[in-house]
Amino acid sequence: MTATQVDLDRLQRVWDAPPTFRGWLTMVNHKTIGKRFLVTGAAFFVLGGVLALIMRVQLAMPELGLVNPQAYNELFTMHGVTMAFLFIVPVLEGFAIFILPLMVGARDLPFPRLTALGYWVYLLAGVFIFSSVFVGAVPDGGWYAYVPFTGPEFTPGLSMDFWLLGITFLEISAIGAGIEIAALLFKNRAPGMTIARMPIFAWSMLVTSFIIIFAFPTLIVGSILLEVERKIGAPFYNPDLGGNEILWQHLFWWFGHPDVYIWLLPGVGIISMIVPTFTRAPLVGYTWVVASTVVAGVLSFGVWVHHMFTVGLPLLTISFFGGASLVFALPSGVQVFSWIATIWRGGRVRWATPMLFAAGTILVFTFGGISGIMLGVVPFNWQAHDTYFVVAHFHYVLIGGSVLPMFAGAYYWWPKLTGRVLSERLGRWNFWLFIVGLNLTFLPLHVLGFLGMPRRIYTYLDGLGWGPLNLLATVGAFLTAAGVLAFLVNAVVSQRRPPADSDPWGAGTLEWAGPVLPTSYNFASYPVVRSRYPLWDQGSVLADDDLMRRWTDPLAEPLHDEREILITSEIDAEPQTVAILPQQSIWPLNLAVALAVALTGLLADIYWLAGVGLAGSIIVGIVWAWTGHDFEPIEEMVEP
Amino acid sequence: MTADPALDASPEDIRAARAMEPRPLAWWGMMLTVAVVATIYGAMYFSYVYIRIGVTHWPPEGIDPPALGLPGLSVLSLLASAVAIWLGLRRSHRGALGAERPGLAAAIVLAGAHIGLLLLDWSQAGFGVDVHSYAALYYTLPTIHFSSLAIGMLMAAVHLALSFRPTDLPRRAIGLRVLGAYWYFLALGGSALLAVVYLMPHVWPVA
Repeated sequence: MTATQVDLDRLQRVWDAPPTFRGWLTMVNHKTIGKRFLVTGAAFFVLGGVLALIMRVQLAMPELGLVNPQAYNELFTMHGVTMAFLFIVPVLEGFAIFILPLMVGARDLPFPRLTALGYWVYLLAGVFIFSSVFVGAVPDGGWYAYVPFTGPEFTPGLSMDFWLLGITFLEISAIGAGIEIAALLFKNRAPGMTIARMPIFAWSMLVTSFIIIFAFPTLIVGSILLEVERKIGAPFYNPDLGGNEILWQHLFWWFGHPDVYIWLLPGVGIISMIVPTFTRAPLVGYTWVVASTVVAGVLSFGVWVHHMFTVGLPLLTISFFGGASLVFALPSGVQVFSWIATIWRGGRVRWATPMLFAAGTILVFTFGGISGIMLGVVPFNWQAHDTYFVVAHFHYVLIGGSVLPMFAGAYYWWPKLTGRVLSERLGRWNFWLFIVGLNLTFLPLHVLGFLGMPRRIYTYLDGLGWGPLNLLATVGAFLTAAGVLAFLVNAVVSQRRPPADSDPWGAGTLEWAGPVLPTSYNFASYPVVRSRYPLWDQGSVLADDDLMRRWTDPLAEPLHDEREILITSEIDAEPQTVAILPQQSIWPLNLAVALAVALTGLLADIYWLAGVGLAGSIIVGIVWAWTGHDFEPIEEMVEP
Repeated sequence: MTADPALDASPEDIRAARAMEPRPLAWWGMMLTVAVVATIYGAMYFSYVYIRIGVTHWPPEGIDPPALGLPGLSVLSLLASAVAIWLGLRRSHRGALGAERPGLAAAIVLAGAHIGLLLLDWSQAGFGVDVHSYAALYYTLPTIHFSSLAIGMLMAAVHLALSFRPTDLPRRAIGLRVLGAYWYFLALGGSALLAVVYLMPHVWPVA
């Protein structure tokens, strides 16, 4: 059966939101929400970058007085908080929310209202944290918020309360995304997309989702305990009253180290999509890459103590965690060699901008990995601890493992986002300015670390000899910023370019199967997958037998104007049933606002306001549950 | 009639089959949510034990080990609430309209009793939350558990109200299974948490 134009118009109407202001507020579609995550995350990236530039100007020469020590503390704290919590994780989630349903042949994420709630919570949490600027209580205890410095004795006032309440609020967004991405990949893959045919980006997001699920809650607990200590004096982290300040580090780094893999694995997945496309060769060692992704996810929970080598833990403990940290070279190596082998096998590489950024990722990520191996060696770690060597290392890893893949992904999937291909000319400016700038910034920081320059200092004395390298790093930072500016200009001017072809890169995966700008329903008749690269290996992705057509084709005609999705089995993706997704809803926004009101009340010790917010959250929660979707009665079930 | 029954199914049959799906989306969503909540409970156990290891006397001098009567009753009440949920689900599986109502109502009451009994115990404790890490853990960790349980009670109340709507049976069947999964975990996780908080001072008073 072929869907008629009438059916498609009806599908479009069923899956779209009305073009009104209320419709804009109530949208739950994954593509809209994904774009919102990406745009908001990009704004926070620019904001965090500006904070970094101010720090680099302050450090460009010895004994400059652009900012005072307190302002510097606030700058590096907010830079870290912005990049770690408000930029990297949300943008990677934005990519996943936007592209994964298209990539695995689904019409939407399985819990669309949760998707929308995640975005509103993210936006309000970001506003909440940055509103600290307006009351003169900017968090200044580092993105890791170590106690006892961040406890009530040493950091009174509201600054760390903004951090603790804001980050806990924000985690609702990340955890929600983790839950629904995992559910999507288990239950909503297109028929035939067995788990062995799942794209690598989907695998990396599946592992990332589980890391989120098992890592983020520990920070919630740690933050609640610290906030209770700050508000009512319960001494969890105060050794004078039986508390233990090292507990915070355990809880934080149980979250914090896996969080590094929440930043890296999606990026690695993006590159594993791009390299095959631009070499026209399937990824070499698919099974090994999947295995290494899973192993990296599991191992990420076994190395948190390598952030704590200098706190005085038993030698046996740190030896174990030092050894475990070195094991990471294996899955990382498998990944990198898989890319190199794929390029080798393809032979002829198309050096478009996404591929340039992919190559940059391989280079920078590998370099950051090597300095990571060095820091896994305990005696070296002791020597380099809290120096600029560590700053250089983690910026190489994060920019190489997250930011460069984000640029690669942005150029690669831009046609799906906007219907246009970004300018190659500006893309090359973007790439070269960024790659030269970041190396100019962070290579010298390794040397400054060897020379003994500590982190988190607002200035340094002239006679120490650190000036020239710092100046070089500052010049590099501005070149990096120019690279980002080139991307922003590209994003604006490329909107005037002609519409792109449906598959402008000649890619093989399912997100490129439909029109270049996806319809609101993604797929009218569900696609059927018989290969890891269905667009390369299959003549058509439509169902090719009667049995499968009985599942895929009726969904082109929405029954009772409902949002129907196909549910498939977890391993083999065999069709099982049809489920109904909720329509657009105002309740995600309302719930996010009510929670924000409650947090504001807690922050300011206005407990009636907190009560109002809490009561509002409960009421909204009830209405949410009540207004989900009303199934028609199924008579067989009513028999007593 | 074909050899494969799926070929004989009409589109409406296929749509109707959604209610029979053994592991619906909501079930997966709740399993993953339970994993999140389990990690929260794991972090609470870890925090308690980690702090305990660093202190010589537990509880500290001046505070008596907790009495076990009221907390014991409280735990029994929590476990009984899980049994009530289970009975409600079992009755609803038989298909009778509103059969789950007694189980849900009993679970809400028993969970309320669980919280009330512990609050009564706290009122007799005689020390504040700020005197020692022991006291901080003693009051705060069960409070976090209460928050999780309050969400479960709210879900049960919504299901109870929904049971009076006649057109929601498939959704309710799925919803009850989802609620059950969450509640069973809270019963086990909460009981284990209270066991740690109340038994540790008795079984390991001096390090």
